[in-house]
Amino acid sequence: MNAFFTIFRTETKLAIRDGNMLFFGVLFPVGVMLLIGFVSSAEATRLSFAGVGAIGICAAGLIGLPLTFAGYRHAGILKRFRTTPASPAVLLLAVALLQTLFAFASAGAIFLIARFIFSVEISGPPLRFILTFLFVQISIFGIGFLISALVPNTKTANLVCTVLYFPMLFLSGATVPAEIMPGFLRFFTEVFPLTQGIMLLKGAVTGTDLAGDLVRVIVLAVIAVVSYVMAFATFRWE
Amino acid sequence: MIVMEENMNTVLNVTGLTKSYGNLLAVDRLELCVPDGEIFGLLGHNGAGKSTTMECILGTSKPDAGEVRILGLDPKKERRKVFARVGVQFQETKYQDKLLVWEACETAASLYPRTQDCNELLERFHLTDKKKAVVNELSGGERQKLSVVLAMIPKPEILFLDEFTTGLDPQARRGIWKYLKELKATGVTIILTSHYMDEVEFLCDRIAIMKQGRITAAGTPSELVAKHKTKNLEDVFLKYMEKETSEEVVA
Repeated sequence: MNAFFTIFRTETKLAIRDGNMLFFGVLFPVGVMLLIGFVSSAEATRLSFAGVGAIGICAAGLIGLPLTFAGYRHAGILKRFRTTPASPAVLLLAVALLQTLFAFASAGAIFLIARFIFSVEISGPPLRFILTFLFVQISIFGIGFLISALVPNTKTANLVCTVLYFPMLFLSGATVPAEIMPGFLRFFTEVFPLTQGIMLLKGAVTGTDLAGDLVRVIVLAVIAVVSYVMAFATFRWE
Repeated sequence: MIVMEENMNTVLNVTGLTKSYGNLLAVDRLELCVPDGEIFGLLGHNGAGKSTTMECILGTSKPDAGEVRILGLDPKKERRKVFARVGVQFQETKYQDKLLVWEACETAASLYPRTQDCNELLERFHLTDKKKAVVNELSGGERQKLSVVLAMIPKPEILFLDEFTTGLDPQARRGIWKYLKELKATGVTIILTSHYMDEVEFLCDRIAIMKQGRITAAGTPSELVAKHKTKNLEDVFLKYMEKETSEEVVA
């Protein structure tokens, strides 16, 4: 336990010193929320809240996790852990927890802005929103773990993360609402897992019937199961 | 102390260790036995199989065949037990970006059940004023000293050092030599690789010279020097390397 806490504390300090996650995971979505809030109608702001709140999940799961894991494996840090009495899984768990907290912090900040600056109301029960958020996060993190397991080095990790992250950020309804996406981009919007997650979150905000979103729940659940199973099966320590 | 059944004082035992990468036979049926309290040197030119041997012994690489026992235990099956008592320094250790020296020490210390005071170690290796420096911004020599410090943190009974003085200035090298001799006096077993024959001659009780994955010569440095009627160990080493070159020419 001592090892876990010490490593978690160190990883937190390193991530803050590095600043990438603070920018992409927290400051950037906060800026987007403020921008949308100031230029859009109250209803549009309310509909955007769920998508912007999910940017943190996307940044943590598709940039933070895979880049850290791939980097540590590439640098032989995971290998070095194997010649100690501790398991390298301790390091991976600490990083996963830290990235989870980044996603929470990001969504928390977005919620406070939406609620208190733009008076956004969540119509559905708050617990439904929280559980949906956790579900989406688990699913997107699964994709992040799978990338970590499959990429051979940091360079490829960088490429894969960029290719996945930016289109998902702009086309899945996180920044630009999916509803106003032109037809030829709609196809991409529909296939991104994050879109399903954002739609679920939107449903939790507006309090629509969950039964209508059952397909999205199933899609995300399948993605989660497949990615975790494949990630565990293919993960290498070096 | 744990008493081992058969070889009371053997702390490292390697039998029939074989490892190949594709068609390249990196380690070929290697046998190694290191008794308690010895400083043992594994020598050979780059690519002779030293690092592969080290990796297979430590379990970070999976051998194709053979058995390894560290302190009488299988390092793969009883990793935790074994590595609570073993210190390891890898060649060219890399660290997290922006990690500070004291954070590296603190993290390393958190992994072990019993540890040595990091401050004392940093003081001993003249790194105290670098405590708050970023590891990746240290000079090559300082980083090398840090990797030895980190290997010392678990108060190891066996210490593995892979090319531990590469990039160090002569004074720092002597400093580490002196420290290792002191460790040996307290009963620590040291297994090292090095390209510096003066170092090997000064430190090692016994050495083995590796060539193409096999041990071609083994003994105490003075035995080998006497056997080959050379001035020092460097000449012995060069003789073995020359042999190889001439063999290659014939082939």
